[in-house]
Amino acid sequence: MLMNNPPVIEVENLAIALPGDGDRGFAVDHISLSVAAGEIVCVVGESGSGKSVTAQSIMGLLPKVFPKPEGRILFEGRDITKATPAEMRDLRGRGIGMIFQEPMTALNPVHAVGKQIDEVLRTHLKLSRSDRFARVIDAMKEVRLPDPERMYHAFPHQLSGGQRQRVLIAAALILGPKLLIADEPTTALDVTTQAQILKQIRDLQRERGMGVLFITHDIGVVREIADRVVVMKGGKVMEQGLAAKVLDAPETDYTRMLIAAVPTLEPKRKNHVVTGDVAITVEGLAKTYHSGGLFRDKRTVHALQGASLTVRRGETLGIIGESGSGKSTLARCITELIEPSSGKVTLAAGKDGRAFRQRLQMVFQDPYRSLNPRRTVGQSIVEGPMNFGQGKAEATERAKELMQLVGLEPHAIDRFPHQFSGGQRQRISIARALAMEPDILVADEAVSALDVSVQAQVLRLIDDIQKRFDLAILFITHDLRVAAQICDRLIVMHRGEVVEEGTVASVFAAPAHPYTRELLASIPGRADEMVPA
Amino acid sequence: MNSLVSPSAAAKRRLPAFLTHPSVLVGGLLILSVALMALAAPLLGTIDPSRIEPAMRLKPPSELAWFGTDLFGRDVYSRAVYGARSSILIGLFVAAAALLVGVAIGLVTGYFRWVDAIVMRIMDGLMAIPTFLLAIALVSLTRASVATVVVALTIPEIPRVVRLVRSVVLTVREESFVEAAISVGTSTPKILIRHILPSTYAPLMVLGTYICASAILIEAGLSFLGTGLPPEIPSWGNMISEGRTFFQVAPRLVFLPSLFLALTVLGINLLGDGLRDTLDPRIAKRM
Repeated sequence: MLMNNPPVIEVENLAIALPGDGDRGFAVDHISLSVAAGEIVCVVGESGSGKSVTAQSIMGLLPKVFPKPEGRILFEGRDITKATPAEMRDLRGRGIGMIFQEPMTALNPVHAVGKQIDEVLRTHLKLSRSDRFARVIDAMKEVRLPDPERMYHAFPHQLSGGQRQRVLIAAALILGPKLLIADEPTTALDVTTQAQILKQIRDLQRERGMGVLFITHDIGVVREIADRVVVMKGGKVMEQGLAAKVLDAPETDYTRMLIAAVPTLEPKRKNHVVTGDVAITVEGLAKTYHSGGLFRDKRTVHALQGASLTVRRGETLGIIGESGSGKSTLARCITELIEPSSGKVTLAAGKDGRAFRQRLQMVFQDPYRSLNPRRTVGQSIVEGPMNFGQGKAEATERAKELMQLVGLEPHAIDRFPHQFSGGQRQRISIARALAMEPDILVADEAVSALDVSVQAQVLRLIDDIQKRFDLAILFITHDLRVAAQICDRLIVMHRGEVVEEGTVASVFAAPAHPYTRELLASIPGRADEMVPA
Repeated sequence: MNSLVSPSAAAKRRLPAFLTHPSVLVGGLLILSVALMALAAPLLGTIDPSRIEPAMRLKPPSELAWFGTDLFGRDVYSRAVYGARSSILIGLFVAAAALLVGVAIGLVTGYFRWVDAIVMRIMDGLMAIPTFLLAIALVSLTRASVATVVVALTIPEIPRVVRLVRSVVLTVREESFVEAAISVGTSTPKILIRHILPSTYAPLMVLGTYICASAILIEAGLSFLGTGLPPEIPSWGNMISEGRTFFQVAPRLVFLPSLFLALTVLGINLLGDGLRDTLDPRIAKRM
């Protein structure tokens, strides 16, 4: 039924050359795709696949570094690559609406959100002030923002991430565009909020019969929302077709790999028996922040309240929660990067009296920021051991061995971090942690910033080094699929408190706390998978 | 992804650009010529700039004195050439001293919150006093000499350096590579010097040039007001101050030192602007 509708947008043989000496000639390499009225087309691909550049060129918002695109982009049959800037301005908003990945930066922090939706009306229509107000309120109601009359005057920082994204959707849809372009609109949101926003986009699209071009890297999201799928890699379209066909019977190896790389919810370690000694015990850890002071009201925030846990050697304990749940605070208190307000962390009696910093190591979230860009990776790896008295020659020799162990060339220790990809950098971070020969490894969202295919490799590496060094691992993640791959047990955190604890299989099969149930229900693409009992 | 290229990588690629930037080139050439003039002063046909010849007072330009002589019969040309020495020395010393002290204070205040609250109030206090007045006050407390002038010019510049370094430290200390260094047991001094200090180099280079230029100008101003270098040391400020009285009869007395002063400050400012444009356009905002 969907295919019979006339296309809203048709991209024909679009090619955008990459400026300068890039790794390939074209950012977008002669692609064709179309979106019909009333359908959602998902463009899926890993970072660098050219999916965002495609969206930008449709909006006529291509950054100036790119040359003028070749090929045709037809909006309702009219070629918009030849449109004047004024025509494009009119088209944006009226014909095509767009929502972005980061709702905080897409909104102006110094204007009330209602005014920002109103701006679209002021730009495109001649309406009285009261008419505009009424339409803004209607639009806010339509995206189910609570109490729109009051929220009209709120500023972006007073809204939650999900509410901000709703404001942007309201602004994008207020003129009733025929096409909505959504560029990773849920990537920066928590999983429960993501589920709500996806449902909302789906509902609005059905009610209005508009076309949606939805750009994402997440196959789970594609499963939730797509009618048709376009798979992109390196600027080329690898495969396109109906969602059911592409997802369940993919034709190309790349699509198969992309789908296979998405971790399943099947707990991998169901039959893994942990027999190691207790490596770390955490009792009643709490962190309270006080703000304000002399001239302001005092405010107290309980970032973490009474968290207790133990991890054995050879065991992985997953700490699950959304942003603001206190999981990172817990990790930082355990690793003594911040001082807890109360509670204590006890490491098992060490055999050789090694220092705390040697026995407990951490792998950080963002591989682009956790390595000093001005120092070679070798210098970063040997820094720890040399702090504890190892000689330079010996430490460098060991660093080379570790590079090999994490799957990198030993002689690459003389290179700088920017010469490595994200996945490689995360391997280097792991090597740096291993150089200290720790008993316990704390991984704080260690694979969250990586593409799924790279994510799978790094997870395998962590699994492998755990066996090899009999590590106790604290694995912090917001992603339940990742947790299912690597964790033996889980603790679920919500608003600074541990709300549930148990083996992965038992938490997944019989979640006791309502929040855990909500988390599980929100996992994108879950409907197509059996969660094992 | 292009946007994720680290800052040092970007700086490396920009190195040729920074050398070919027109204002860096012009500014650099100007400063280089003034510096060479200061170094090679004895070889440039000069005589002793302090030699007083009462018989030769206020003589017009001649074979012997290319730009004439001043009230005490001293050779104007020689004094202007030698004056470059004191100006450049003072500029360099003040910039170096202000950077050194400012970096030390800035690193500590940026990293330790409790120090920050106290030290920054002192810095705010210093910044509230106009540089010139503070320098005059400091010089008049002691006897005028090169050392006191350098100290008097350095103190008002320190808060600027502290604020710049502190702002860099405040951002960099939140980077996870600093946390990573802490978690492998790196000591705090090492973290400051090894992981945080290098991020301040580029903005400090730019700020250093501005301090140098302003020190040269303020020294000339102090000398002009008679509170700067002692009159026996040839300096551009001294010469302009003395020549001012005879400006209507002998404008040549102030011409040469003013020209040199203007060219030097122009050169340093051009260099600073060029460095700022090429190294980091955002620095301007922080200052």
